[in-house]
Amino acid sequence: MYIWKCWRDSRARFVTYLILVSLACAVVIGIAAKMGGPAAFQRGPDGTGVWGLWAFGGRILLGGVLAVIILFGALSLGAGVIGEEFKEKTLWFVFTRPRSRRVWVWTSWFVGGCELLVVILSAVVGVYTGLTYLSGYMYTWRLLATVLPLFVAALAVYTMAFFLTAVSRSGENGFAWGEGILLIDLLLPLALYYWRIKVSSVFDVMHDGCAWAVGPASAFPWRLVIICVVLTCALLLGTQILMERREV
Amino acid sequence: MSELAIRTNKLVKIYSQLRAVDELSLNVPRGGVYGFLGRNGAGKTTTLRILLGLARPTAGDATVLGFAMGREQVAILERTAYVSETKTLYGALTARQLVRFTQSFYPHWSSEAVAKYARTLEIPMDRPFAKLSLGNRTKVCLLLALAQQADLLIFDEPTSGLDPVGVDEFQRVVAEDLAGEGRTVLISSHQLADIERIADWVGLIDHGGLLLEARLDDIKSQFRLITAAGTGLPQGKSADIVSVNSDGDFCKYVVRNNAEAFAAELRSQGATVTDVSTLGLREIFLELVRKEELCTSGNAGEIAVPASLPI
Repeated sequence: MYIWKCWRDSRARFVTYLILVSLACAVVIGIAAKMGGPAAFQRGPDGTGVWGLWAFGGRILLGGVLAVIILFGALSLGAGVIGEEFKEKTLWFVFTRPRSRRVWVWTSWFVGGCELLVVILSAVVGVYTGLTYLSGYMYTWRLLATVLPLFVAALAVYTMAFFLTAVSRSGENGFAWGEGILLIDLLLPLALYYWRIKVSSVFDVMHDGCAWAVGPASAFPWRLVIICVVLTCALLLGTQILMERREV
Repeated sequence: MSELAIRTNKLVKIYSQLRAVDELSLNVPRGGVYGFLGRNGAGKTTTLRILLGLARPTAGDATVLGFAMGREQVAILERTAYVSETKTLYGALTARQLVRFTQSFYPHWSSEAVAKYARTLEIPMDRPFAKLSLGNRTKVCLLLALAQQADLLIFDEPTSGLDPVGVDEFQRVVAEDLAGEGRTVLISSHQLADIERIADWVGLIDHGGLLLEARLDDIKSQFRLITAAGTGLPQGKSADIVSVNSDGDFCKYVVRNNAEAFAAELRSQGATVTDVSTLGLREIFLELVRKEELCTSGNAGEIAVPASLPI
């Protein structure tokens, strides 16, 4: 029943998120089709794909524009799914029901995680379907496989917002702190690149994953994916320990 | 099975410099209604929060319904219903949705109780919680607690916001339905008159420590107000003399235990004892808390805090 309650709390955010992602998909696919022209329908150098449009759609759309929307949406979901309890001051009620606190933490995290997966699946399937329709060519399964890096990266950001909300006892603060960290994570590698120092960000997981999907020469970013998974587990465990010890 | 529903052993809770609960040893017997009294900031709510696992004690331990606090918290929560003093629930949910949500946690949930109390407490079941008046919010919280069929019900300021009809109905439910079924009800409240009507036992705390814990009838039979007239009447307090108020040749003594012996002593000193009367819970509460105030303001440690009454 708590799943229902979490879904009820987060559904408005989820629907908004889904609409934003769908709109971004539609707009960018439209631009891709318009700007790509004949080049958009050329085959790729290895003959495996309709390179121009797919490269644009796969790499730029999924790994670029949508990735940013997905990351900030994940922040919002992570802060919201647990933030409602703080906002409504209902933790006393939740924590006096006969369930261990870890159940509450994992259930709310699970609901938001499922919503995140649905958004990312919709984005990827939307892009895949849109590009297939426009190019008349079905690309490889690799584009669908971009769900993994996109989801893993978004899940890490989502769990970070979840953790920060638990730390700050406020969804607004959790989101704001998460936004700050995410911006630093996105901008710091750019700044360090000036000194030829290469640092990966969560954005790289998504971008590299998408680059792998459309460019057979690129390697799948396994290392970054594993780092994201470990980070997610650590943050979730941290939230659980925090909430188990939290005084209400 | 333990005879006690709640037993705390030297419970301590310290918030930075404040000792909110100070070596509190409560013994709440099973069955009946226990009034948990104290001033604002006395440590009542903190104690309840510790018992329910919402706060962790700095020291000490406790058992609730025979289960160890902390280690067996889920077992405690399965058998305990709690209404917080804040009365905050999910604002967007109606009482009906809150009932549906809450009942999923309790195997012994009573839908009959929901129907019965929703009717008797006149709860608007289909209005969002956020749009309810404070009184109706309190009623919804009470409804959710009552339907759990819990062995122990803990109410923190349960009548706040209730109108007189609601208060009366609540008292009737506690006295007839809950106590009548052998459940244990612990009520933390400032409404002494309400507690006096329904409580079997009373625990009084101040500055986080227990001042008094006994059956209400015993307390009322042990405390007496003695009015005496004469010159040179004793002004000092002792363990039995809770307070002395002199006005000219008249003195009023609040005495715990041995009131008749003290009256006889006054007479032997030439005083005229004009009246020996019983005290209500409110008067006893005020006298004990004032005495504690005198003891602790600048004299901490010099005068022993009164121990529990013999039961």
